[in-house]
Amino acid sequence: MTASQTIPLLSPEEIAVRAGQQVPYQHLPDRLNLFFDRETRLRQRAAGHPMRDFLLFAAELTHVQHDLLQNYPEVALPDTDALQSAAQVAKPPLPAEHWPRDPQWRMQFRRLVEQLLPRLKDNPARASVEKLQDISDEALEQQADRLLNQVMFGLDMAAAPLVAAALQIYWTHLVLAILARYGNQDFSPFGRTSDATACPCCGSRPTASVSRLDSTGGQYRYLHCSLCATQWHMVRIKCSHCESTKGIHYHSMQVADARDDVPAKASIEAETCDECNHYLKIVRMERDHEVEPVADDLATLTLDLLVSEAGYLRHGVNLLLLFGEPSEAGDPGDSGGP
Amino acid sequence: MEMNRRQFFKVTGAGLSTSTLVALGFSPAPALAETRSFKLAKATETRNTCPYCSVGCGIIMYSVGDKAKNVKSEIFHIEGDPDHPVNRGTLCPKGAGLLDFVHSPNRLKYPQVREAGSKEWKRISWDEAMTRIAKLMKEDRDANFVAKNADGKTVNRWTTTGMLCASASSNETGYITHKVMRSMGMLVFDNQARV
Repeated sequence: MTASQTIPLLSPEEIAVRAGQQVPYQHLPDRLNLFFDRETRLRQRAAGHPMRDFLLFAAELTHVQHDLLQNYPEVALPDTDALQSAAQVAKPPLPAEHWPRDPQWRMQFRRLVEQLLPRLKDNPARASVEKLQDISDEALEQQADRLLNQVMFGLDMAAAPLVAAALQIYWTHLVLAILARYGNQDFSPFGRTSDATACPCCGSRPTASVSRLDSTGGQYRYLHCSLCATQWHMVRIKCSHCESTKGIHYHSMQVADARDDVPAKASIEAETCDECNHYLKIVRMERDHEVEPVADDLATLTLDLLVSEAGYLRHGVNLLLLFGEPSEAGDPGDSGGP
Repeated sequence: MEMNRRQFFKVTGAGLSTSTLVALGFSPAPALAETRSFKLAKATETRNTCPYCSVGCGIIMYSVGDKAKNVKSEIFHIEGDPDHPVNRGTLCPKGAGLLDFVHSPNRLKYPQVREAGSKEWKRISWDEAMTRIAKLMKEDRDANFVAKNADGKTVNRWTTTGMLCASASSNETGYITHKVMRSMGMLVFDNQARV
């Protein structure tokens, strides 16, 4: 194929209109579509997938996330002074690591478990979800702290995806509620922060990048926040870990006996950086309109295993799938790094 | 703490057996088995500037293979760079045809000369080409250099030879072109290829 096939012809008027256009820095999550689209994609990917049961479990979990987000109760929000003082020092206004969480999130966690259980009739995860019905408030807060501070020690791996799911709804609601209360033409509660590799709303790491097809005709790369689902812009062909633009390659999966000289056009690739040896997946809407960063990240675990075998370290965070400590002693090659 | 944090994200086949996937009650075996039927394909995206005109549109070139020996590397797709402030991902028809330009069998790959009165292009070496150009330039400059104008003012100009340079040059290339040519008194040169 030639390049011209993918490039639309623009009229002189369109060129004039686009001339002064800026790249939208962020796309805040959409209450109606975020979890709905993710669930749809998870079900789509689950068909015939070797990890079918797990993807269906994730789909049920996402379904409940969607339901809870639609009627989220009122929670304490920061005032405009707090938002402005965060903006002045270019910090995210809702930092995940030391945010005073509204107790309401625990109520929502309990509703999540309650609503999820009937949906897991034959699912292998049912037993471990049942155990979470009587987790104490203290234990829940402790698990949340460990998750948000990325502490492996003492983290309950069976509880983590559900605790994370409840935190995701809470943070997504925070972002949306703040936008609804304060956002107007003169004041935007969220903006650029000093760390371009962290979410401008909550400071978390991305799950994956998404190359979006926007209605305005833009085709920009955004990083998708693992916690609050905000997407923020970062130029293409740039490492989302060390911001290097050198030595960036794109790895995709190919059946083992495929010919090597066939150009890869995969919709999900791992963007690897030779400077810092990290990688982040990128999902490309221009190659598949249906891609969703979190769902497609879960569905391409094989790509993670292959890229990790090739020596790259994962930079993306997917709170639904966390890796535990391998049974062998620590890897001596892992002592360096930033 | 730092150890813990790194472990949090580390992907290994062994780590999968203690992951949330297994803790929830799922089997890691199908995922691990699947890795055996796949391998990695590597592609590279490279930013560059369209060589056609002085607008200087940003382009992204997609290639397979790497520059290592024994590996065939080939550009298979070129498109406008959406992040580039000049063209925002768009290209003109000439720019959109760049892939054919790269792979064109008629692409000039070495110096050639067509002698006066001849119809044939003849291939010559880079050394021959350089010597020949230098000689011709010197001859012309010796014959036509204007040191002073009619009023006796020093002008040091050489207007009988000109040079056309590429449009997709960096600032630094432009600076060097300017220094080299101006120091010989050459006035007629352009960094444009409106052709």
